[in-house]
Amino acid sequence: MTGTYFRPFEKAEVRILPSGLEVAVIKKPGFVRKYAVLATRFGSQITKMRFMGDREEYDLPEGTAHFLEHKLFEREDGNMEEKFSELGATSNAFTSGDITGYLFCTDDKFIECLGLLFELVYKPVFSDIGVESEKEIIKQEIAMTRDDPDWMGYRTLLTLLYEKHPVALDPAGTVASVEDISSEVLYAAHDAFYGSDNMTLLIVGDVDTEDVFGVASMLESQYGSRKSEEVEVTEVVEPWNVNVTERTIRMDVARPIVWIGMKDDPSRFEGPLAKRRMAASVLIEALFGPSSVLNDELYTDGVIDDNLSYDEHYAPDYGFLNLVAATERKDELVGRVKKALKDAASEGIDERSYELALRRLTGGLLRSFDSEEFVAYEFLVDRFRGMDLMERPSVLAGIRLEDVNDVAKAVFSEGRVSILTIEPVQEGKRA
Amino acid sequence: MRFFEDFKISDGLAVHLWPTDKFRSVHLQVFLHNPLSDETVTFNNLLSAVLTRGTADYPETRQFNTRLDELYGASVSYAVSRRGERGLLSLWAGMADIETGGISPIKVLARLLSSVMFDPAKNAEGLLRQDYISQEKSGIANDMAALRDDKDAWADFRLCANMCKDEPYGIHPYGDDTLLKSIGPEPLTSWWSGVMPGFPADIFAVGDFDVVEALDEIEKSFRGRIRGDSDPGPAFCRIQQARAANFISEGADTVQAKLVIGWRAPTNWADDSYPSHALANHIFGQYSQSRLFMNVREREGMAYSVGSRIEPTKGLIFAHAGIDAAKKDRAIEVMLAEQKALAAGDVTEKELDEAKKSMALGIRMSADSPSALCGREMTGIVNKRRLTPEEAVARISGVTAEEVAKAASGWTLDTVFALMPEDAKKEAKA
Repeated sequence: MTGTYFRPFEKAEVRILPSGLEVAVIKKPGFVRKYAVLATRFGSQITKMRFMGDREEYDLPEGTAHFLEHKLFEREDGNMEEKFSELGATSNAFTSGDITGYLFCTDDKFIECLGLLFELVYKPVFSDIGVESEKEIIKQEIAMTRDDPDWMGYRTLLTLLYEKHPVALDPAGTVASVEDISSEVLYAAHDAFYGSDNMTLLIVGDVDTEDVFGVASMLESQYGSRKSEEVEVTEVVEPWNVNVTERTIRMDVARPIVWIGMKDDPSRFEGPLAKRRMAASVLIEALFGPSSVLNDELYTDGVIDDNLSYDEHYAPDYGFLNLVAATERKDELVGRVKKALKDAASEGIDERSYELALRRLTGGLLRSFDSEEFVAYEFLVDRFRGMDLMERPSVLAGIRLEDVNDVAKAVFSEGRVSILTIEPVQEGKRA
Repeated sequence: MRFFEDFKISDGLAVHLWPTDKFRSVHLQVFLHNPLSDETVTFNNLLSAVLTRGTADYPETRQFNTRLDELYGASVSYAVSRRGERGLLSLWAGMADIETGGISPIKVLARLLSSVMFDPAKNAEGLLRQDYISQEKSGIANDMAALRDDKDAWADFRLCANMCKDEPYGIHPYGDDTLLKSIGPEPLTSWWSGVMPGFPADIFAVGDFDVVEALDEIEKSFRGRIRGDSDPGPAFCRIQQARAANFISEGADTVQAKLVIGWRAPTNWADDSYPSHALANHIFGQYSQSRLFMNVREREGMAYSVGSRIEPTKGLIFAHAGIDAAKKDRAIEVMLAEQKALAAGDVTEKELDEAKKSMALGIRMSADSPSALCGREMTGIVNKRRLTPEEAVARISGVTAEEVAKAASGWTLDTVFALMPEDAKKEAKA
């Protein structure tokens, strides 16, 4: 059944308004909830910028994008969440490395909420008092993540993999960097990155596409016709080899948790990024998935007692795979995983594992379209990284075994693997 | 709109079908009712973990997982949960809406889930496999220990364990570790063949199927195998005498302190008073302008994560906040004061209106997720009062500010639990 390919029912209709604002609509017939996200191509990875014509670089403290996301809800007479609440809608926002998104969901007040979303994103009101009080809330958010082994494992692994690339920065920043954020910084970031031509509005739900484009055009002329300030963003050159090959941290966990990161090199991507990412996805599914030899042997021999967890992350300027497992037998786990990586790099993945991985991923992709959150987030992230969620099934169907083995050869080699162990605390000391 | 068509296959075996082309996947879920106890939770957990390792046709785990891959990544999973004092063992199967080998997904899923539950991999003596049992016992023992890794979940559990130490609701989500260690192939096999089939069952299916075919396939797969003749016991118990509130503090090696507070609310999902309690809880800590959010987070800047929830069967209210340990006393003071203010009638029409709209959206949205909708239906079934989303929304729309205050004034503070960073605890002692 290789090559089976299912186009999702859903299609994204995309138009670009005169201001440069991109508007995309994905219809979900029969869904109660209407979901809208207005997102900018700005996230925690941008920490330096230069306004055109300026000589000096402008420093953005770590965590600026996330701080801005929190404070954009502030208004002189309360907050924007309250206005959504008055309509019976819920609002929220998120920040990651290369995206900040503002969203609402409603069932019956879609047009009114869309107006509020534009007002929220395009009409900032930052106050010094508001910025100061938010620092305490964000410090508690950071404290919360420090106690979360999943978050700490993933974020720490990134710092082992990446020496210079800002993908390794924590989106929330640090307790110290948050102190350096002021309303002046927030306005500068808003001027630079919140122009319409840097943003995408995505609607997912049972809506009338033409109505949405009509209302968005009207709101654009009312609120969002400003273009972004022209800025240059400083780019870094990241070596292919990992920053640190091995590290141990200690947390209040029951037993060791091992994270293994494997680093790809963007300069080696042959062909489109979407294809490389999907080949990597097939690779880890075949090698680490529930029906893989590796997972089965580790489970049967009692090295692990839950299936391996794994994931791939690709953008135009980075790519990595990661694997995580809890185990009392760390050396055995790492030894067997390394052997499996070495074998895959030299001998490749077998045809049967590759076909099963394709099937599993095809079904999984189709099922995930039942989640509006998945569709919204993945569509935006893909788009900002030059990919297209709606094309994933066809890209997947076109992945050949050679593409998969190319990734294995590139990534599973000496110097490209980092290992992080979270050990249980000893004598009450945290590393 | 009533989503499910209900059918009774036999006493103790009901089927609920929602044929819809809204989703790209098909979902089949079995809920088995049992009395919540250390024994049921421990056995049900271990049994489900062993059953999902392999079937008679695909006895090795890798063979079984390969079969799931062939079905385009079909999934089989389980959960041991509770509604009040009713234990629910749930097993489910799902797959993308793709016909495989000319067989419809609902037929594939009915056979798959039935084979997992009733045709498991066994050894030559007809017992469940010792190797799977040993591995899964070790896995569950590790899960028990790792509950503490998630500090929010751990604080919730420690609150409940203290608050309900004399009630089944307080038992550990994975059961009892001493009992777990003692279970071998014989008792687990007799639990599987003798006890599990006696649990009354509700089977749900959601997807793009023909109702006649789906009912026929489910009946063929489960009739006679689920007897459903045992008594699952009452859905909840209540402690009779009022008692003084407990204040408990425990240590962990963390940066942040986790504060959780439990009240008892004299209500149940089926009661006419329930909507006013649910609405009071919503205003207290469950929507974006809630009392806890606006006061603990926005006004005092003490927390990032703060809120509350209601347990609808037993009638419990839980509030939580992640805070700086130095502010523990202030946070408790503010959280308790907000509950008292609600009880004293400090509720505006604006809050009432917004909270009603927010609850209504949440209720209606459950129809966008098959598992959320099945979960809602089960709360209704356990409490013997099923409501469509419209009926549930109508029920809250008439609640007045006075009724909200009356509900909140009926909440009795039971336990305040703080999970404190070890360093802060040491400093406090010194």
